[in-house]
Amino acid sequence: MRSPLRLQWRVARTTTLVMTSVVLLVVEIGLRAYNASGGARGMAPIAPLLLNPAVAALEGRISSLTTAGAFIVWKMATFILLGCASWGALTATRLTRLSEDEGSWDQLVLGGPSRGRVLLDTIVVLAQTGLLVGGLVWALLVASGEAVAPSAMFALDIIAALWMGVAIGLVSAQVVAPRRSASQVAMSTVMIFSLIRIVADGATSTEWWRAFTFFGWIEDAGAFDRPHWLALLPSLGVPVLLVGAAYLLQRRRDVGRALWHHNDEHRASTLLLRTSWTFALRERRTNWQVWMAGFVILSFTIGYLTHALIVLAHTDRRFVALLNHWGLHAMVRGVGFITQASVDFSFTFAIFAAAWVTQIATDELRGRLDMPFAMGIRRAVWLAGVLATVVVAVVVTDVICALIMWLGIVVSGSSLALSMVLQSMLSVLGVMPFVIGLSVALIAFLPRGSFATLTAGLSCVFIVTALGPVLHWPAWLLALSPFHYLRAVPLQSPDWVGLAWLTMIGVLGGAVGAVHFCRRDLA
Amino acid sequence: MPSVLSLQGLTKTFDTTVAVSDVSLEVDAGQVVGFLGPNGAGKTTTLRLALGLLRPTAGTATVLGHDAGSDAARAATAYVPGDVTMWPQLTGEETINFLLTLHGTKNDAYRDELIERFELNPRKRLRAYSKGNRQKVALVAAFATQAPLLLLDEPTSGLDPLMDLVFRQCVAEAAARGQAVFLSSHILSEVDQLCSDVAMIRGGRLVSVAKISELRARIGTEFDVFGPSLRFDDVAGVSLVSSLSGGVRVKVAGDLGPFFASLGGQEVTGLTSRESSLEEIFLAHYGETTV
Repeated sequence: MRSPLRLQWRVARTTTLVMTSVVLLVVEIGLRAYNASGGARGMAPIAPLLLNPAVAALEGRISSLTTAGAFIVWKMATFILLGCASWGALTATRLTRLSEDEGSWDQLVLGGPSRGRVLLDTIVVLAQTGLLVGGLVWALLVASGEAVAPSAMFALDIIAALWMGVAIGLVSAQVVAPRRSASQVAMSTVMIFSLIRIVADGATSTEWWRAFTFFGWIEDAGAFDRPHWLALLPSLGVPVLLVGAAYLLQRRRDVGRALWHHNDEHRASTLLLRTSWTFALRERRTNWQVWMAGFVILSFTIGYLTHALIVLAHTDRRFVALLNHWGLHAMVRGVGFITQASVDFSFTFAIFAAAWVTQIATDELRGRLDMPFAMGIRRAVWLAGVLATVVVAVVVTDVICALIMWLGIVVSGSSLALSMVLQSMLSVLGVMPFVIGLSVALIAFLPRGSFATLTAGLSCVFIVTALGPVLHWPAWLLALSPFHYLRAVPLQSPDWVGLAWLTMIGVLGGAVGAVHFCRRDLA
Repeated sequence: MPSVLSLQGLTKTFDTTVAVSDVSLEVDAGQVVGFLGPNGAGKTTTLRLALGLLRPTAGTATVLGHDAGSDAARAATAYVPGDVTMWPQLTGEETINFLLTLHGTKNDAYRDELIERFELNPRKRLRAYSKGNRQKVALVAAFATQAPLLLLDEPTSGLDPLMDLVFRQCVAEAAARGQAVFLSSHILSEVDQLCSDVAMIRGGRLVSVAKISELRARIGTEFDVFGPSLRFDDVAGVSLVSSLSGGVRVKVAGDLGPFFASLGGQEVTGLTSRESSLEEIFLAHYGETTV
């Protein structure tokens, strides 16, 4: 294998393995969940609901659930495809833009191969990751007894989503620098395409929007439903065109620079630079804005869908039966739906808080903390500033999301007291002391990979909370997840005892982590 | 009064690797001490121990009698790393101001003077700076603190010769103000010019701490002596280096008296002398190890 290929494979290897494992795990969980629910017979009552716009907006469109593959496409594909596209976008900017930002691209180019050759090798590596995950999913489905052709089509769906993410990431990397900005642009683009799919499936009048999102194209291919192989052409062809565009664009710019230049000169500002506490906010404000944009879109969408779901629950008893079957009986009411959505929000808030705190580890590993810690500030004070600001950021974000969600409910023509939405959303903050404490412990004991470890761990325990009750997993396993202790507030009282334990563990872990962080060697 | 920087029996091990072993040295006010050693000898580890960024396995590091890393020690210290990596979205001026704020220093006039002397454009974001300009940002921040102790870890990497000159002037001024400077560097001419004393480290152990003049005397002075039939066979401290056209090159170690006495009994038509360079001193300590 030629050296740039080998090098890029090495850089992408770990996250490729993690992403592939997660996708396979989710597919496996889907297979087990289908069988645990009684297979085709168990799914029969759900069938008439599948094309309901509200259900379709949440889960995607499919006409029947007669096979486990169809169930996976319906229940899991939204998560899998969005995850693969996001991974593709982030990895593409990492292998290209970050390499250029750090200067390692220079070494590659000077080592012999041309810039175009290195980019092509990178594209080959990224394309291979898509084939790898798609191929393994196909093998898993076929080994589980699913038909070969529909399994292949679903595998191609995954490949298409991943390649599209890669293509978007590659184009972003040519246009925008540094890598953080390129990743933000790429991820925003992927999220916008996802949102368009939700809106398109959410009403018959907006169905035509599906033509403007690759998630819609993939859905139209109808894996395990009504196969339409030609519909896969744009999903697989557009990434190729975009990659070609990225290749041409890289020839029009200098190595290390993007086509669009920031204005890198401006007057010095003292805004948020007077203390380490305010600096923690300043350092993270751009990321916060990006997260906030995503949260606002998600909150409004959930609020807006509330009305359609309540109407459905009131007009179709089968939907109520379905919700009961899944243990989501509270969702027949608006407040019930909001409480359920709030529990889902807790996961994204947890990731947001983890990213905020583990930025310390990123700064440490890049050597940014050497000068401040050597000639200025105590580590404890620096850490306290980050912890204070993460609390403020999470609470402010939570309240804003509640307000936006309530706005979505009002706009959709439904009514729900703002106080109820606020109570529901504020109740999910109960897991935050645990998450923040765990984050501090990880940056202290495992600074390298602290965010990846937290994300992987929180994803796993969230899956346990989301699917464990349906799959009748043992109580001790469910109790391991911090999300298990969240209740449908205000319909239920908070689990004060459980949350107190979580908080205690979080505070203890955080305290031990803080002491170790202040005493250990700086990386 | 305690030394500004005092390292006593400083030892640091990483797992099974001994990075620094039993290092003891002192740097007093107004003194500029060079810190030399091959790559991987333990220079940066020693400096990071002195800064409190690493915790010693054994021994102590103190600044003005305060433990390294304590509030008082940090307040008395300024530091320049060899590779400056700060927040890319901040401008040079914002970075300098932020560091000075953290340090608790406010001396806008001297800061501005340094910015001007180092010809730094302070309005640029750090991500747009070259390596040399990022280095200037750290140097301006460190010098502007006028802290009692300056710890400099290969501070001039990336600086052009003109800026290197400005750096040398700033170090000389700092020493004249009574600041102690501990300078790790690979540029021997820089150390030779700036430092009164030099500490040499090899394999984590200090192999020498002395004044450069003492080291020179220990290594010896070379003389080119011209004349017919010159003989120094029995003269104490004199060794023949090479034959020259019409003369010889000898090295004289220690007391020069016997050498000059022996010249009196011979016909000498010419005599030139040359002190050992720091490079020769360095090579004498490290063999042919590259700096």
